[in-house]
Amino acid sequence: MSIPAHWLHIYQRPAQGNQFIVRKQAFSYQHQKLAVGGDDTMDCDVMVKPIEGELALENWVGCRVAVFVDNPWEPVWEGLITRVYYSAGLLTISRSIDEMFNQVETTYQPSGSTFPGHSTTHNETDSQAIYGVKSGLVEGFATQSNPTAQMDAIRDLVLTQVAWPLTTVTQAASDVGVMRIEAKGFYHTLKWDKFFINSSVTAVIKTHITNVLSNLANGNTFINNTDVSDVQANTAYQVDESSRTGKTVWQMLQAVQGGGDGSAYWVMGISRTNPLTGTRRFYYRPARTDVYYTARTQDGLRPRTVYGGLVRPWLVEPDRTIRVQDILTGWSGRGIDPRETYIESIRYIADKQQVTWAGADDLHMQGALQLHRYYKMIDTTFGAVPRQSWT
Amino acid sequence: METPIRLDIVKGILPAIQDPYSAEVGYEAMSLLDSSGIALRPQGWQMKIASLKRGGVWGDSPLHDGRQLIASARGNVVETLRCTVSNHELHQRQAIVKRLQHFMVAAERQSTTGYQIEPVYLALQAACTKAEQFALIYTISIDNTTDPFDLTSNWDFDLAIEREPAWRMVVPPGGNPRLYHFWKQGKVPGVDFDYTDMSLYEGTDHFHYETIYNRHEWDNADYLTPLAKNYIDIAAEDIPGDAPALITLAVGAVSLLGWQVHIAQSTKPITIYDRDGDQINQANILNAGDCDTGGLITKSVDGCGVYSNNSVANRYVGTYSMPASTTRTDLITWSRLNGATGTRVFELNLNRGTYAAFLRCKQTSGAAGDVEVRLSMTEGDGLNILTLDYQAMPIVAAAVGCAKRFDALYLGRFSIPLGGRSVQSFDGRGLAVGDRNSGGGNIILKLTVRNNNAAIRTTEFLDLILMPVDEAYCVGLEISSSVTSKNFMFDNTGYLMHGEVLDIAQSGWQANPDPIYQIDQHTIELRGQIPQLTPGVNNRLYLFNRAYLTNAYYSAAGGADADWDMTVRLNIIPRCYGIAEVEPNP
Repeated sequence: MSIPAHWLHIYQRPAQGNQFIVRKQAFSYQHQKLAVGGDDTMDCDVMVKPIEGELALENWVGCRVAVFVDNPWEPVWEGLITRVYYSAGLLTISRSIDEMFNQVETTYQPSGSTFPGHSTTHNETDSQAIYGVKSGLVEGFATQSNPTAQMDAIRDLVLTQVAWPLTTVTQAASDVGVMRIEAKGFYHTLKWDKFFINSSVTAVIKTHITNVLSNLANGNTFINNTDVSDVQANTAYQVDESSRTGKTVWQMLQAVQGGGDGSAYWVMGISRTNPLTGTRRFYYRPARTDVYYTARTQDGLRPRTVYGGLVRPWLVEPDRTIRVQDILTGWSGRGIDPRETYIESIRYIADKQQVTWAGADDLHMQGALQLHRYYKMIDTTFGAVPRQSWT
Repeated sequence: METPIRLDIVKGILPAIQDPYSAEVGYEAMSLLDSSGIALRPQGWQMKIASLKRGGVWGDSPLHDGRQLIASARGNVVETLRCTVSNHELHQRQAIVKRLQHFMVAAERQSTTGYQIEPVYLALQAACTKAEQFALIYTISIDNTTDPFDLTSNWDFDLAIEREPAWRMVVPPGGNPRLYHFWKQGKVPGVDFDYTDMSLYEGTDHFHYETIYNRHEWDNADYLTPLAKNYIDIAAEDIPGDAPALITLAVGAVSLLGWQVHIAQSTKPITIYDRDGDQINQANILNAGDCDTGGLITKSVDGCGVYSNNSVANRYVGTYSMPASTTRTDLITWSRLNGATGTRVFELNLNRGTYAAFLRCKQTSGAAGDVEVRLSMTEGDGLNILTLDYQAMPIVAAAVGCAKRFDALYLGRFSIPLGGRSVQSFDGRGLAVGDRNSGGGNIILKLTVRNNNAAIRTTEFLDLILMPVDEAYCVGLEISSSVTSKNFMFDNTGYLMHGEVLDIAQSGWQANPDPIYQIDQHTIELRGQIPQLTPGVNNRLYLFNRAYLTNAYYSAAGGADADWDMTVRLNIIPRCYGIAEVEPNP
């Protein structure tokens, strides 16, 4: 069995259009997908001639990318190129939008106020016209009781420094003509948007999600934000739509997703581009817990269907359950079947033709999964240091 | 190895035969059999065969015996040619070495730069063979194994030439693939054909020339003969060699603004016999009019349908008025019996493989997502079930005539059989084949449709198209154009890329006729890999078209008309890993 080549198809940046630019064969390809989020990360090498590499350094960051393997109608991974590394002999140049923010405001704790304050928003509109709106919220530590001017100055300085893709040059010998591409899935764009609603309003979950999506700063740039046909109704409880601390849209949605419906785990993410409509949409639905894949230790845990047919490793998706068939044969005890794992994440490595999966209890994934969990255990902490109040 | 008839290092592409205005420049060749120049020493070369790259990719566990091969690919070959230069003049020896270095640099730059577009390749005709063979060169290393200051002795060189894994028979890198077809016919260049006969998108004298359609219809007399088909067949004996053959495929299309051309390859058997000797032939399109009787779908006579339902007098589509807020399981079933003849239309072992499924259908009104459809399949007694996800039916308003009457909805991909790669029978006779004329199917495909709206929705179905994805499957996408009557060209021979090894698809048309004769063409998005024909077996290439209605990269309202025809012109470059054995027709 020969493995089809993996192809990167690069398209315009969504804020600029949808046209096809170029396709490149991917080497050293790997991708990761999550049950909550969908397509998460991808990285690979492509071969470029020197002038091509320089143009790519300038033009590819922020572009949409779709990866095709054996089925040219359905990509196996899709997202945005967030970083490119170009190797030019004795140095490596990297350019990225990871630390780029073209919309900035600061948040701080005003003296005597119950609620956090925030500065007005400033925008670098030229950058937004190319890359979309990527919003940054700076946690300001005020050194005076009325810090408005200080917070505005911080905001303006940060915007000046990071409104465009950032470049780093590293002096390190590397293979000439190799360009390393890193990409992130579309759900990451929901982290580019922050949310402030100052009044307390309760809503059913589907209404809340619809409201959140319809108010995206990026509108329908990355997803069709008015298509909620894949948002299922969850009537277990209602939510307070207010957000005063400037959570990102993704965090707003995590707060809902993390609660499930009291008995079942729910997932959310961004679907891949519909080939008929050319758009993507947000999904929110109960997790798929039925056994969908099987594996056997005797062949190195190659993923198979429940009927034993081999599944191409690049097609394995999370939000499924996998059962190892040749351990604990005949087990039917209490509790969770130890042979079965609900797949929270998968990582596929093309060169090894290997896919590894992780469940909720996987220690290697603990750090990453904590980042994706809105409700964490008390003894783990992430993010900025909590704000202090002035009295 | 016996001294070859020809062994050259070549740079560049020859002009088309007798072309007075060719733009090809820079062709040059250096013989390695030139006793006054550089010559292969006796027994100076043992041709190598491409081996598995890095030994293959293996699945291995320390807990179990053996290991399993997962993936294999052929690597480049490094040929070592031991040559000698015996010319008595130092400056002439140096000139020979300089010329070798010139080819060495040109080969490297053809791979590493964007401006050196001339391919560098080995040209070989082995003794006692009728065909030349060629292989693209990537690098040449020159190792002088004797004292370069000693003119009394020959200068011996070891040339290490890294070339592509397989040799191309008859046609060099960047050469026009039509040359193989003419050579095979025994035609003499300049006598039987010249530059005016080389078009890849015109004329009928191609390796394979045929007009096919965007549908499949059976002759109801036997359900073995197609009245209209969407594939071409290439016979095993027409594909020589032992390495996959490269192709240039031109598809002439009707006039539309935008295009998607799908091409999929299958080398599986296309016919099978059941246990009492009745023949069953394969097709990858299942018509709604050929679905099982007794279902909910109504088979309606419709001039925009396809011949089916055991008729070659009437065309049929499937229609159904979906009640509000309902789900209809088994709306359409394809399995055991079709129409009134009892002829099986879908047989498991004849259709084993992995498919991308497209359903030509529509809802005629309402909003996107009102009506959703999904495909499921069961095996044998119906207890093994695989179900794909629901997909929203396209909304296609009432059409004018038959134009853009249906759109092709992608349902997902699936493999049959559900476990393993084939099904062997309990009766001990090998592959399991269901009886053509009786009830009971070994594979059942079903469409389930649900209406999410509180109003009735009218739905129509034309056919289910199954494009095999497990061998090679590619799609060319033309974004938009105001030009009609285009041709699509799919090429992995390197012709369109002037010798560069790369799959490419282009769209083009004749902007001006003779004598100006200008062709406008451009590269389009190509997804997947262009098929390479497997030698020594029958190959089938399935084609399918979908179009856009607007000048947008994606159109929510496309079309996939059944009455479109496609004129297919195929040319090949057969390949081999060793010595070329192909001969022209006697």
